[in-house]
Amino acid sequence: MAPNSYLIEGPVPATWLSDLTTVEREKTAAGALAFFLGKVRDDIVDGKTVTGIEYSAYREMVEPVIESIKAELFNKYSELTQVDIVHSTGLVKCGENSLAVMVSSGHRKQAFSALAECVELIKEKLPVWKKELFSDGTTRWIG
Amino acid sequence: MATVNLIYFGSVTDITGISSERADSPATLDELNEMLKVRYPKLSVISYRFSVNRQLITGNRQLVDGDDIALLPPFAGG
Repeated sequence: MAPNSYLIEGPVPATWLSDLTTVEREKTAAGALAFFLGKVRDDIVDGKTVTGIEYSAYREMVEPVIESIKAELFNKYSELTQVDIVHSTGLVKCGENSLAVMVSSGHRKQAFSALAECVELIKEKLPVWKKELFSDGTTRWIG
Repeated sequence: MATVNLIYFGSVTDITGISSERADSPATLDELNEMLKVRYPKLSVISYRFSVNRQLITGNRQLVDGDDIALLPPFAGG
């Protein structure tokens, strides 16, 4: 498998965000950074509790799809200076992060709007699937 | 007739039992879809789309040797 900078095996570590804010310190044109973290929830389905999610992705398609999402956002939001996205593959347990998004922008309004739109575009377009794992050992595909 | 690479994801892999295979395909995507539904009848009861060479396809399309054809159930990232 070719390495893919938008995918990470297992949960997204909290250090992903702090590392990015360190990089962003050099970029003094941006006055606003906005973050989103998606976490695995302990949903209860038919009396069974979700303990984790197994993510799989069409790795070769993830990169062009994310590049097109970023291009769409940069086209729409003139103040945007940076968009960073990482999504998990493999097992992510309840409470752990499966998706992280950071956008930076000149001012907060475009940062908030672009962040929300970015997450929606990821949900709609990213070729990723999840299998819920339950406490009794059974599984269920989502989608 | 074209020899293509079929790639399966998500719930489709439960139906096919494998994640990829090479196959002799009819000349068009619609005909390939019909062939796959005969080979894997449960495909008829789930929802999926096709990508050809990592591009989502709506409608029919001619296939050529070496095409990478993926069956994509609804995306569920996040």
